[in-house]
Amino acid sequence: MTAPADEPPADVPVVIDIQGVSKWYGAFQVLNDCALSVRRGEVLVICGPSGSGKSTLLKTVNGLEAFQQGAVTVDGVRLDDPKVDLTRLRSRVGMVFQHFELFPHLTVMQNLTLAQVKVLGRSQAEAQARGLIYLERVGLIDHRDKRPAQLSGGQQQRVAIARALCMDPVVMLFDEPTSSLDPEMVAEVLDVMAGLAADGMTMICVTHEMGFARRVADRVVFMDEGRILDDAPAKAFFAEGGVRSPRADAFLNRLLRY
Amino acid sequence: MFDGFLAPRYIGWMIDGLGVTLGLSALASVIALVLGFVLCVLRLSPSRPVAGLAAAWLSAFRNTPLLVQLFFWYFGVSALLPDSLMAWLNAPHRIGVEAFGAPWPPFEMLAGLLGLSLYSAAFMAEEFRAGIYSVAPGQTAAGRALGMTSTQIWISIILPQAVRIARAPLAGQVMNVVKNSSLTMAIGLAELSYAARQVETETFQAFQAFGLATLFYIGAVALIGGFSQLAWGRSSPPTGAAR
Repeated sequence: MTAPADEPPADVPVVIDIQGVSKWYGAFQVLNDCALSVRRGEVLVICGPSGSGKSTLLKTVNGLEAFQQGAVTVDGVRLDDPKVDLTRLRSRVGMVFQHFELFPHLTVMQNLTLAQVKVLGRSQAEAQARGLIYLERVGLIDHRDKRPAQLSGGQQQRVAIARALCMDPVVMLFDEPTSSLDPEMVAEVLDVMAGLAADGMTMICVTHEMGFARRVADRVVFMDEGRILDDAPAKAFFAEGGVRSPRADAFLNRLLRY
Repeated sequence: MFDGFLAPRYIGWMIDGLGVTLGLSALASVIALVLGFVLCVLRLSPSRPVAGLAAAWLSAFRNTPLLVQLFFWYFGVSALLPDSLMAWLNAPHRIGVEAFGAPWPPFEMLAGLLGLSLYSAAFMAEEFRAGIYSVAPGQTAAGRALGMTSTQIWISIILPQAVRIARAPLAGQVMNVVKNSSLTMAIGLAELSYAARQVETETFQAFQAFGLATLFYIGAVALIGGFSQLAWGRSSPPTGAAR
């Protein structure tokens, strides 16, 4: 494992702290002693081959995936603390899924307001006002009364991002947000994500979009077979002959060949 | 050889029979829908004994002939119940519906309603369950990621979609209730098929009697189909098209 170089200043608080996390499905180990910390405003890209455990690691952050060993701390709160209200904690961690997972029976606006009202206890008016702000931001304000099925994949994913933002998350998790999109729709989603990053949102993105990682990420984490092999500043990771494990080197070469 | 239409009084018998069929089917459908939903929830219970019992109950009712079940409730249970209770059930009582002209139901009606409801509920439970299973698991993950509780996810996300998916097959099950209600003639309930049989015995006009009964059944089932189309439209629900 290569040591992370020029770390961000130590006075920036750590938002996500993952310590020694391991997870097994029966005898098969999917996560092997993973450690990671993300400071406020940092943009982290996790990459690696399929089945390397990157999505699983991401989902430990909001408790969607349980693990048998280690500890995850979100904004100073330990996930395994029995006193922790996991639903409360989750509401503060935004998540964007590969398959969007918008609620198909609700309109775009209802998708944005449902959890605001049910989880945060906001009034309908308040929730809609906030929904409009984020719909505007992802450029879909004219689509507020449509159903998800009436939108393109890229539009649906932008709505999903807006839905997560409505909850005022301390961190945004992206689980292969562009992997199920047509190529021409990838850019519109990445643009929104780059905009968020520029505004200082703390983000962890599992993605194969190496162009995005190079341009937007502060740090790149490379995983293989459940282990974190690399955790390096993006510049150093992508540089010609940069600091990366041989496995990551092979992965990048294969990815960049075409 | 066609020997004319049924005399008006026999058509009257048939219409009375149709009334019983429709009333019985409507009541049985409502009971079966409610009970079917409850059974489905029990079937999906995280408690193994509860889910196991519900599964056993469902398979018992789905895998035995309705006719046998009707005989069981009508003859079997009446043999088990104390004589005094049977006498009470068979005697007329005031149940507060006399004002609407509804008499105390005969025991055939009670047994028929019970048998038909329990049988249909088992099938409807499985339609509900299929609906719930066809809601993508990612929907639950999305709800959890937003901080919603399991109850909130069930009520706001899973059930609305599951019911949308299940309503067409459920309408089909209601049609089955109408058709299956004809079996209650075997325990002497004077519904449409029973009336047709009676008219045929009386007039020997078998073609006319069963022809008219057929038309009535087709009409009743078409009514249900028409109603469900009117209520939900012809198109398939938007559910699932989202990906």
